[in-house]
Amino acid sequence: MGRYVLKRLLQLIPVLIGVMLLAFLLNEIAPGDPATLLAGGESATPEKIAQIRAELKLDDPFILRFGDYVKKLVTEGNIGVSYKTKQPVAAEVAHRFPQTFKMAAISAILASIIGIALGIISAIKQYSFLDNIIAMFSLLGVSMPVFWSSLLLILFFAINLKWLPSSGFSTWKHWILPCVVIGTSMAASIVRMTRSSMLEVIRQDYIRTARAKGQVERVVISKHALKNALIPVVTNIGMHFGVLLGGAVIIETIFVIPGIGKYITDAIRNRDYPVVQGSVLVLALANSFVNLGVDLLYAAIDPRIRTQYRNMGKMKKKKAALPLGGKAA
Amino acid sequence: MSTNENASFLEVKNLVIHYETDNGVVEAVNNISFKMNRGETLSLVGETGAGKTTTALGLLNLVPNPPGRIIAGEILLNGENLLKMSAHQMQKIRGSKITMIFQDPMTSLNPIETVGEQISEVIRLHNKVSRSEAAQMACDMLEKVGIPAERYGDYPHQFSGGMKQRVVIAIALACDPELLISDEPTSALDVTIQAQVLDTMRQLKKELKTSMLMITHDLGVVAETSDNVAVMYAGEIVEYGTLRQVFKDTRHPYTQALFDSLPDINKNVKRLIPIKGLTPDPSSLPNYCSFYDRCTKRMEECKKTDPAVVDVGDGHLVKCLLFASERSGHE
Repeated sequence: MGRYVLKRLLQLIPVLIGVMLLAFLLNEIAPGDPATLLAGGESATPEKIAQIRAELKLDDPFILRFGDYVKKLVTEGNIGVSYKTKQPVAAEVAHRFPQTFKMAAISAILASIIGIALGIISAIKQYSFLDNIIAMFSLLGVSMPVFWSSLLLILFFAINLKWLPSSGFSTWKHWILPCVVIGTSMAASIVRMTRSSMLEVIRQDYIRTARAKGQVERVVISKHALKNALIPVVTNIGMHFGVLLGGAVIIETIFVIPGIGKYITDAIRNRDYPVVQGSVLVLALANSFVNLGVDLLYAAIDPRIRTQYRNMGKMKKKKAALPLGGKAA
Repeated sequence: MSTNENASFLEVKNLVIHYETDNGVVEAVNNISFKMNRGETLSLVGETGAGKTTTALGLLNLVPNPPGRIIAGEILLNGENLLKMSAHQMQKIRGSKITMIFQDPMTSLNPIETVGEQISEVIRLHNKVSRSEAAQMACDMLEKVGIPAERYGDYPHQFSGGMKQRVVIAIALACDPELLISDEPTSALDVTIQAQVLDTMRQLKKELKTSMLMITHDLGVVAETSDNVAVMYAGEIVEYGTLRQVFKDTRHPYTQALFDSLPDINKNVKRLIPIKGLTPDPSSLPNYCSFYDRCTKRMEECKKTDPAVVDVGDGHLVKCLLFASERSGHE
């Protein structure tokens, strides 16, 4: 198992190099010029623009700049300095990422609890009134745009009832509305996933075996059915969580939360390449860890996958340098 | 517990089970009755779709609902009607007094629990023992079915089909059941393994003095294991008797046809005689004899009435008009 994790961590190195290269290339081929924007737009003098280009080494060939970036990353752990603010990207990300992470984590936990619980009820009471009600709400949850539900909630809880603040992130109360908005839309899809997965498992022979043992229905569902049904649900949650780590730009904008999503979109608008590259790198790393976490969770649930990992570990006995992944997070 | 050891401890009376689907009512089990004595092995024989498995699930009150529903009848275990029991009472019966071995060992074990845990689960459900005592008992059970106790912590995917079926047998016998239902326990296994598994079952059944309801379409298995035989066709028992009565003194044309469709090692038969036609659609059964369409000995009257069950001697029951004159109707 340890060997499997080590192998996965080593695999991060080529992944991250690939991500960096892609981010660099995208910036390269994207229209717009950071120097022009920094100099004050189209009205700036060509001399000024040229000066800034020189300062930022924008005239160097692509491969040189990429090499320089990678070198700085490896030797100094420097993921870039903003063109605009001249601040290191790492500091800004370190400040913003925890907010995004907090929001994603709370939302995901909330969504998992609600989603799995309702999904189970839906499955064991298939076609019942309750099932229909839950289906209706999950359809609503999936199809309601988050900006709209955010505004409705703000209107109701912040403005009319004055129970919760409408924006900011300083107290726990600030987190309720954004997390409820993200959580419910995420829960909606988890409900559907849990329901269909449970329905499939409940029809399996081993569920009948469990019942034939005289096991009480509650345990049949919670022990025998649920654990088997969870694998696709865990994948679903992991995927959602990964997306959320990239920042929920709309939510961050509405609730004025300084998260990573808004940071990146602003950077893209300003052609602030180092910020885009640095943030993307951090996000790729975070997503890789989420994926690894999901895969390990599979193994925790399913012994068949555990065996598979063990065999995979045995195949490669090569020892290698310290994985890059150890540094970050 | 019954005082008289010879009294039939299981009695099924006029059991009717339907599956109610959107496309109509499937009459899976139609008014079947049979009795079983303690220690006896009764085989339920019939083609696929004859209602054998549904009958077995009915005994455990585990017919999947919806769409299945037990419409009428009584299932008396030691005189108590199982169908009148609460869900809680029934849970106490399942796994301890009546247990079941399912058809496909590949899918009847939970893939993510160790086999030991799956055996000790049933032990803990029906006995007041600690976790470690249950584990010890489960290990003993594993040894009994011929699996080393060290494999307690292994998962089903680490076992072969025959070994899995042994685990399923261990689960079924762990609590010393009065009645063991085995639903085609060997049809998913290789022939060599089949014999081994049947042997294990027979041995343990003798050791534990368990009665067994054997569901199969394999007449060879029937001959090897049973005391009594019930032949099912389209949800009805068409012939019932001791092994000798049914095998040597075959009466019902359907049972005869089943035997004719088997190769006989003593005869030099070039071509087997198949049963022509198909089993009738259980969602639209005829109101006359359901075997009429395929019967080689059918008569005019057969299409007019549903034959009554007739005792042709010594409890040999046949549901066919050919024998209506032999004895008065048996209900």
